[in-house]
Amino acid sequence: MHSRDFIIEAITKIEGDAGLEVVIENDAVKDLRFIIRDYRRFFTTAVRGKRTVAVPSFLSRICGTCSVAHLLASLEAIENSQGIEVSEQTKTLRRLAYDGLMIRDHALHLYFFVLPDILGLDSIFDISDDPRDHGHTPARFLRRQANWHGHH
Amino acid sequence: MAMEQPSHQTIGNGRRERLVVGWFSFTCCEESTILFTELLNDHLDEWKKVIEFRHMRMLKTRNSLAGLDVAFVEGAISSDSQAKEAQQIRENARYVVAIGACACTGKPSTSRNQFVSEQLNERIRWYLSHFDYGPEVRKLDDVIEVDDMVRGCPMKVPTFLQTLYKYLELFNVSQHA
Repeated sequence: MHSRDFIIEAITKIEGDAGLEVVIENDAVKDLRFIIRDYRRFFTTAVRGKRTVAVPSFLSRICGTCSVAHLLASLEAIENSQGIEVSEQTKTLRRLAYDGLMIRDHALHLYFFVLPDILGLDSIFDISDDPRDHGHTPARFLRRQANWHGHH
Repeated sequence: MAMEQPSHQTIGNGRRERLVVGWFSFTCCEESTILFTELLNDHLDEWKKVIEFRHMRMLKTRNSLAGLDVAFVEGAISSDSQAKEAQQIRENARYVVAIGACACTGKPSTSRNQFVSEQLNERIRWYLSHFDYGPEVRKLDDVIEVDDMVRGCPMKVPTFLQTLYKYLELFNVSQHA
């Protein structure tokens, strides 16, 4: 039976700043604390009194990863409060911008955060330049993994 | 925590093989970091040959502060502990470059510095008193000496590239030259 605690001060390959504290007693996790170290910037207070035209770009600064989502949400809030109707073309363009955000964010997670760990490498910088190396073509590698799991 | 690293390797004619770089984030939205990762779409193969990314928590598991040529720092400084961290970066880097609006001007992260008393409601006071917040948010050069600035929110890409290539030349990095 083992009892010990461990702390990861700074979790890497994530967006933001966070840690993890794990308490283990008798080989079982007794407590686990996810520690978010990002500093609040109090946007909901800071936005009060700003001109409405300045609000979307200001609130898009809440998060660099999902700035488009914050920008579109603030636009929608302003439009709802003022009874503004937008055209179908505007709705379509916003949908495209939002889909672009989702593609960018998921590609970032998959290729930059997750793939180096799957390959047992420190980072994307360590993926080989050799085109024969399986890490060089992630899609090929992932396809091979999927086939392997399908056959075993 | 800094780890031992090999000394900077030089090749013939005193040329350096690679520039040793660190990338750090303090209080901000981290969009300049995101923009940096997008630049890798076009520059990964080129930069891998001439730059050693020694500290970049967002992309690397193993990170070290030791012997940095250039530290790129985004974000404003919200607390004394962040100020100490910035000073530690300064001590380990020959040059420090402020990246993006929060590091260069403080804004918009410094918004709370302008709050008047009625805006400091109970909820905000609770956060400021229960967690590690300094009395005010500061821009990077209020805390440490900064050698260059790449302004913009997020950073202006042409200025970033110009600054990066300036340091590759300054350190006589071979393949770039």
